[in-house]
Amino acid sequence: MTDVGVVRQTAVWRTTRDAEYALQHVPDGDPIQPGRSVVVAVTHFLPANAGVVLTVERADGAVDVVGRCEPADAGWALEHHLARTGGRLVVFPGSDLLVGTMTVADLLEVSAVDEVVGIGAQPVDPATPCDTQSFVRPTFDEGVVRLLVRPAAGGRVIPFEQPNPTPCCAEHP
Amino acid sequence: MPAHDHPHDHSHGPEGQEHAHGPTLGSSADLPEATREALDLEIPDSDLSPSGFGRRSLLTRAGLIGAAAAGASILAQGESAAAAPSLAGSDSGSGRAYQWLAGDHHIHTQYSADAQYRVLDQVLHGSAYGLDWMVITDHGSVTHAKLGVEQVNPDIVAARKAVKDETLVFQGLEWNIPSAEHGTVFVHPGANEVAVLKEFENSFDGVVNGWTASSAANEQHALEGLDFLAGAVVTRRVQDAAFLANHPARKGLDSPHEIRGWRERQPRIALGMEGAPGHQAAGIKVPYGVGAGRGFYDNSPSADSFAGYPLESYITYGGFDWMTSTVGGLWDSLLAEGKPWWITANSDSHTIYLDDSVRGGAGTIDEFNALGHYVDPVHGTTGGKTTNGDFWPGYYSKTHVGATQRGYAAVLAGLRAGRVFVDHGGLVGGLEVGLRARGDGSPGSTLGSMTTPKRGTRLELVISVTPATLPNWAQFVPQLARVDVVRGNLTGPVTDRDSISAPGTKVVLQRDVSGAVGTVKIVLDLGVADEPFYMRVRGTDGKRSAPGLNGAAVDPMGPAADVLGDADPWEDLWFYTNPIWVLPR
Repeated sequence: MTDVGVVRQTAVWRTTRDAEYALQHVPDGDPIQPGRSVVVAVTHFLPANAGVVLTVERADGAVDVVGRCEPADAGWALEHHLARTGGRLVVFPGSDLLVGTMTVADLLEVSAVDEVVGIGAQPVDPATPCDTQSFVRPTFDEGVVRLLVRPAAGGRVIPFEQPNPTPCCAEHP
Repeated sequence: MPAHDHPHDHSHGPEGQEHAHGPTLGSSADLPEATREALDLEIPDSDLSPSGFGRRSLLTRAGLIGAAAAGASILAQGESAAAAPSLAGSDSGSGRAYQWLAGDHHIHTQYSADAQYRVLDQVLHGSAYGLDWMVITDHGSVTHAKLGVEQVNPDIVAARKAVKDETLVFQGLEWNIPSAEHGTVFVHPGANEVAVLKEFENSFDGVVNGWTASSAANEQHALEGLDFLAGAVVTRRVQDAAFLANHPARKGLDSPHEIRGWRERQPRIALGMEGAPGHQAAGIKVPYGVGAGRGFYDNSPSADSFAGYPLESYITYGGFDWMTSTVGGLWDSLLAEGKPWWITANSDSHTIYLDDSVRGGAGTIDEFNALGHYVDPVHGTTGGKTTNGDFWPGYYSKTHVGATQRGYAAVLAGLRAGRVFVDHGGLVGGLEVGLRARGDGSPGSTLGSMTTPKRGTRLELVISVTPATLPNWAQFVPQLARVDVVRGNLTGPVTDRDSISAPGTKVVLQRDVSGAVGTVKIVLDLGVADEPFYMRVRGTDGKRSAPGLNGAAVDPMGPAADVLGDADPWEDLWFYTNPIWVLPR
């Protein structure tokens, strides 16, 4: 039986960045502290623009839903996590090994990413260098862990999600 | 509670009467008699003339009656529908009757917290680079609502004089649409232009009122903002007003049902969206440029994003927004409904690629908030900035509007009618598109119009495109390589208001025009008029192409996904036209 964790914070997260920040700053000794027992951590956008929650899976298989939400939404997120049908992976087996530039083949070899696909569902040559930027956020999609990449400078590909996107109304210095 | 008391009643929505009294609003007076009576739902079927009954049956079958009655369909577009008789040889639908005025409706100045130039800087550059009209659109904000919206007006008035009105300068603002993205809102110049914009911003801006989060309640505020603009026109506070959605797919904030909702709520005000965003220099590679995403499109979903948008929607393709660049995608889903929703292309000019000027004064946000603007820019000391991602207005992106004359009202009327095509890098020297009976010598029905040929009439699309003959602002003569024609079925309103696909739409012609000198005339036989459909046209320098997101069978050589950190905008040029609908009678 999977545990559904306690709601651990009061503010509704609106961005994945907020959720990840919270995950990185859980206190020492907390069972969901990354690098200890957590094997998979996933962000989910709740229905009806209700916010972001995390599902956090520990080595013993227990999954906590973390973040403020309605109970029904917690169950919804949990279902997607368990069925691998939705959500965006922050922590997953091998995620800490995805640093710098590596070939797509190596990325698939060392991590739990099952598939790397290009824009328009185009296949990607496994020999293509992938600039991970140490920020790889694949998604649960149809039961597999899929990483969407886009073309980047120098004939490389780059994971679709950028670590530092241009903020709204940014100073473009 | 924001100021909400404006002098018109609140009977809004599809059944609302207020917009029916607008000076140029969607009156069906110019439609053929049979269509007019078919659309008048006060007349029972039994009282219709035979031709009126036939027309109503057809419209009902196509699902267009309801939308037309709501004013949100092409059928209620009095002006564009007036082009319909051109199939009978009238000149009223002729593209050649219009002057094509190039413009840009998305420009920031020192009255925006993330920009720096004087109004005059932008206007002088835009004028020099060939713009006939411009809209000054500083960001809606607490400071702008309090100070900037008034302060900018004398600068705009002075700039109009400085260019001797050779470039028309509208005052507008960039609206933080409640629950959604940014949008251009602008008005016809006049005694109340500032008062109307100021009241609008204070009452309906998402940032000023704390309504940016996506929610049903905030979506309502956006609709009320459009109602306010319509009311300002109806009550003659301003002669005209318009709204266009900016960088619509950038962060997934403009959901399909919001876009449909805006258009349907105030079809006279809500005209369309940026087909191509600004910031086109942002993808130039390091060390020559910023090395970001073209258009600064490098975002990912947030809790405010529409969940149905794929990740692919967050980037540009050939410099164009995913909604527009995807054949059979969101834009086509609107066109297939018969929903007039036009595309534009603008600079979003904030800070210019390789310009070396900097803000004067302290240049701090505190100074901006205290003054309402930044101090005039000064010559910088660090050389041209490769970290800027924008082009001057007119330098790269142009929105070409078919106007009956040169003037503010005519530009707005042309935009509203959808007589619009857009291009990048000066790709197109001239363009006329007409749809007519085969062999008919007339220019045909032009962009944005609906034509109503007799069922069984053989039709043709005529494209006269003149490749550029002069160098662009990157000092080369762009070479048009290919012209593509897109055709889709006109299927009427969707049941799913969040629909983002038009399965019947695809590229039906790819014509190699490389090396052509002078005007190229392409005549495409459309067959015999039977079911309703629409056509639109696209072209490219052919330097970057890829199968479209809906597959090669739909779009064999569409715009390719722009490379993150290496997208030279001058080496990937496209033009797009707005559509022409065909509704056989």
